[in-house]
Amino acid sequence: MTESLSLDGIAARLADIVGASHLSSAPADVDAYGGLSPFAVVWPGSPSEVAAVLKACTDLGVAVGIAGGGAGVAHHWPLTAERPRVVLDTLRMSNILDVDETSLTVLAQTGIQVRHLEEALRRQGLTLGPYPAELQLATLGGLLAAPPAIAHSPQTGLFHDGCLGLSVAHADGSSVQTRVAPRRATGPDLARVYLGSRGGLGVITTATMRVYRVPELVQPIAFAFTGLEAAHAGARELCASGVLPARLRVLGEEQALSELGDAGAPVRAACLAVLSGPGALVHVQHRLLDAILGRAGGMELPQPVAYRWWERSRSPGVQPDATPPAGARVRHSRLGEALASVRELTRRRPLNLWLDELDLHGANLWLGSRRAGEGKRSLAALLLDAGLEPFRPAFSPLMEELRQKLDPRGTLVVMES
Amino acid sequence: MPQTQRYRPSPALGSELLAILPAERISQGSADRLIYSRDMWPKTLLSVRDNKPSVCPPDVVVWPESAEEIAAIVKLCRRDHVPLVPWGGGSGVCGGAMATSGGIVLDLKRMNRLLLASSDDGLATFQAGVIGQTLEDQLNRRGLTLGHFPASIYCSTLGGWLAARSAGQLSSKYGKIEDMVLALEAVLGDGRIVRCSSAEQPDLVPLIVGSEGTLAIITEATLRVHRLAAHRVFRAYEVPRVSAGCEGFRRALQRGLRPAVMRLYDETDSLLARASGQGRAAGGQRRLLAALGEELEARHGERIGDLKRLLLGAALSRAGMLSRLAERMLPRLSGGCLAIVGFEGEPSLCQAEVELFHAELLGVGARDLGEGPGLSWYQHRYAVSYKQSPLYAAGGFADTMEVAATWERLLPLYKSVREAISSLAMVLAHFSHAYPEGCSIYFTFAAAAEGRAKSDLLYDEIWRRGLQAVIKEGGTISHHHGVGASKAAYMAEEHGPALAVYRQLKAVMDPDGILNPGKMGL
Ligand SMILES: Cc1cc2nc3c(=O)[nH]c(=O)nc-3n(C[C@H](O)[C@H](O)[C@H](O)COP(=O)(O)OP(=O)(O)OC[C@H]3O[C@@H](n4cnc5c(N)ncnc54)[C@H](O)[C@@H]3O)c2cc1C
Ligand SMILES: Cc1cc2nc3c(=O)[nH]c(=O)nc-3n(C[C@H](O)[C@H](O)[C@H](O)COP(=O)(O)OP(=O)(O)OC[C@H]3O[C@@H](n4cnc5c(N)ncnc54)[C@H](O)[C@@H]3O)c2cc1C
Repeated sequence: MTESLSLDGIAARLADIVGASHLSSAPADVDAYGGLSPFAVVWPGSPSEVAAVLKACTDLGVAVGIAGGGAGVAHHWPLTAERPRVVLDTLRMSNILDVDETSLTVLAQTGIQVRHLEEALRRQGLTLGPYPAELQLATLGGLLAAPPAIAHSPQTGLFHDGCLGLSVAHADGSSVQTRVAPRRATGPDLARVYLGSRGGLGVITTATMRVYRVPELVQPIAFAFTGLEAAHAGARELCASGVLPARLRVLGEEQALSELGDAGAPVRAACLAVLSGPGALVHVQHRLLDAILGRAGGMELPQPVAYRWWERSRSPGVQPDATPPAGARVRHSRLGEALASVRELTRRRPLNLWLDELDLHGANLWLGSRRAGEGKRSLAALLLDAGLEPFRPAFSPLMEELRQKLDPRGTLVVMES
Repeated sequence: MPQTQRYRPSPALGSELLAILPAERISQGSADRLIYSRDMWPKTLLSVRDNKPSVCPPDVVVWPESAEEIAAIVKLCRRDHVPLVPWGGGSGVCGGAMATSGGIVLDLKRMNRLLLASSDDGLATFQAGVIGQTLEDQLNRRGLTLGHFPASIYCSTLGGWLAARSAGQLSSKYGKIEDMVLALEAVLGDGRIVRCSSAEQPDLVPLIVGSEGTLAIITEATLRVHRLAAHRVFRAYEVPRVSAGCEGFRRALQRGLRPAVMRLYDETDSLLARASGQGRAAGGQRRLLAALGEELEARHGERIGDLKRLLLGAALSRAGMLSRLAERMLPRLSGGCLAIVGFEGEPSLCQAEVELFHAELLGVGARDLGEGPGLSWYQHRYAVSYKQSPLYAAGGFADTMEVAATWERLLPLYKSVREAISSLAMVLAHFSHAYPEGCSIYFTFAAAAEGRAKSDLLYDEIWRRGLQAVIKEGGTISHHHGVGASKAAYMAEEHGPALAVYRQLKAVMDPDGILNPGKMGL
């Protein structure tokens, strides 16, 4: 049964759970969530408080939006239902619970900012992996619930693939925890239900992540090419060769200029790779990489250019572009054609073009603009015109059915961006 | 055998199936029903030995050729609540493909086509009923490989691999089957044909993979494929103890090395793999020894001597005493543990990795044995026994328990399982699927009891004690054989409250509960 309470009554009920100082209806606090416009925000301090808040909201017919670091591009409520809304912010759930240096795993609460988690791990000679610095402001929970396409490394895979187990609180207040094992054959991988669920199936409260030792040697390398097609062909060959760089990017002319700065000579296209690992292995990989990219027509740029790029790309101050880029997944065999159509469509506009998440199968093709006001939708429209399908997270019908089972009253809201 | 309430077939079932499939692809004949009455779950051999082979015969066996045919069969079953059990190669060792409630067994082996292979895009799409070696041959002809080599590659199918989360012998480099799958087509328990891909979020692929026919029938899969390796190198070592071997493996993997093969045999298993000599045994025990010898030869792919048989036979009938003795004697007798590693890929990369690995193993006190043992293992890697195990005929039984844990929990788990079951059975173990965060342990146990009833009790008790120890130490009850019927009772402890999420998935994908009922503890 849904109880009916005034907004004040609801706030009082929630304050009983989290403590009055961890709930606010002050405009300055609620306005911080922009498009979400809740009447109150709650900051639970533990998984059991999260579960209790969710249960209370379900009982009271209150809709809940989950907020992590808020790094996600503009978020909207997908429905305009006339229900009181609160934001559950995971800010206070930022404890590191365990670092297992033998198995190389970390168990942490999901409200922790990736930057803080990484700093703590570095103090023990560990790291979450060679992911782009843009992720630093996101929370662990945000990255698992809404994995951005950029959270990828050819060496370690997708960031969320490093999630070995998690605990979740559901809308009815029940909680589950998936047990950690390197691999198992005991049914579906239940943790996967929640990865990418954008807050719609439950609140991820803790997660066990794989971590890595800080590499013995890190070697950034930059190659210039006369065109994007050749740079892509080189990168593709690299992926098939068994050399697995920690980072791998292919940049068009404008993007090369903005990421590399002055490279000493004009760069029509570039392939950037970072090799990391034991020195002896990195040296062999470097020789192979030189041969592969050389055969594809690349010329190695001076080492300081590569190092400067690497330092800049990992500095925590790195700011996302004014306009978020639009991207699409493209298989290698279709990339040549895709690049040609995109270039044709953008001949008169100085747009930035680059490829990342390169693997055995394909790459993400990105279109960005350094000019403010260039809407994401118009970039996405360009991709559509080029016959590509821009990323657009959407629940599959089956996931939607599962959502209705786990949260029949629709307490939790699947965010859209 | 776990028998859930048995479905009573309606007399019209056969004729209704005829509206979907031609007569030659439907059988209610007793020979077919007998053949499909059990998979390779070792416990079923105890029945076979007693001349009671029809443990769980299905009522009907069908051989569909398309997802549409399967969807039509599912809809028919749904109407009448007929249990429907997908069947690949029937090589599963947990009773997963057995029709424990009767109903229809749906053999997918006629759906065996290669639909697409692209070396440019590193992927290939196959129908799910293709036999493993056929799949690999077709890729090899195109210069490609899946990198998945279970010992059962000749008798298991792609669908069975995906359904039970299979692991191949080169898993450290290529991963398990769940690491290789990019997209699926499947028929749900409500008759819907769905396609899902790992590009979607949340990703349905890892939910259908591993569900052992309880959520959906997998009809095709798109897989990651690699160029055939240009070069392969083996090295073998003798390490002083299991703990030292594990330490060497862990350090190497955590430095970023990716051998294709990593195998570490514990003291007992190493002794068996190595020992030779003369020994005597008498009467029934001798037969048991000979049989066990054959079993082990099949497992290890090499000849073993009489000494081994002697030790094993004695251990089987007086498992407790001998285990204690072995505990004390083995360190002196065994000469340590055998470790085999293999690398494949680009030659200069292989060489660099071999050298780094070598240094790690020497660092834990290993002695270099050269490439011989590795090459010999590779040559015999599929030398598994397909005939009814002579060990059973001689009055004993054997089975394997493949579990996994993170490195920190691994050795305590190894010790606990051995302690838990070594008073009942002879136990050996090897570590053959290793990851940066942990490793699997493959226990082989052999025991003997008089008569069927006692054998059944002993068999179940060994599993119970073994898996309880695994759960207590924070490991998982299965790394790659799956759960099926044999481990269903342990699913609640394996998953805790998270099992409820699996049940919700079941309610969404198989609302009437017709897909492989009675399995997986649902
Ligand atoms: C350069 C750049 C590129 C990006 N590309 C993408 C992209 O391709 N795709 C994309 O989706 N995002 C993208 N983002 C957005 C952002 O990185 C991710 O969405 C990230 O998850 C945000 O983390 P956050 O902590 O800021 O979470 P928020 O922005 O606060 O939340 C993100 C989503 O996750 C949910 N959520 C947060 N925490 C939890 C939790 N503990 N349990 C359950 N749900 C939770 C929220 O409800 C929301 O739906 C990009 C960001 C940048 C800077
Ligand atoms: C000698 C021997 C050696 C072995 N070695 C290994 C090894 O090295 N590694 C390893 O992982 N396993 C090994 N196994 C176990 C077995 O081969 C695997 O479990 C394999 O994955 C089973 O495949 P299958 O096609 O035979 O499946 P089956 O036994 O027919 O079925 C297994 C389960 O999957 C379900 N299923 C089958 N096909 C489908 C489908 N298309 N859709 C949905 N569900 C389906 C069945 O209902 C059943 O629950 C070995 C077995 C034997 C007998």
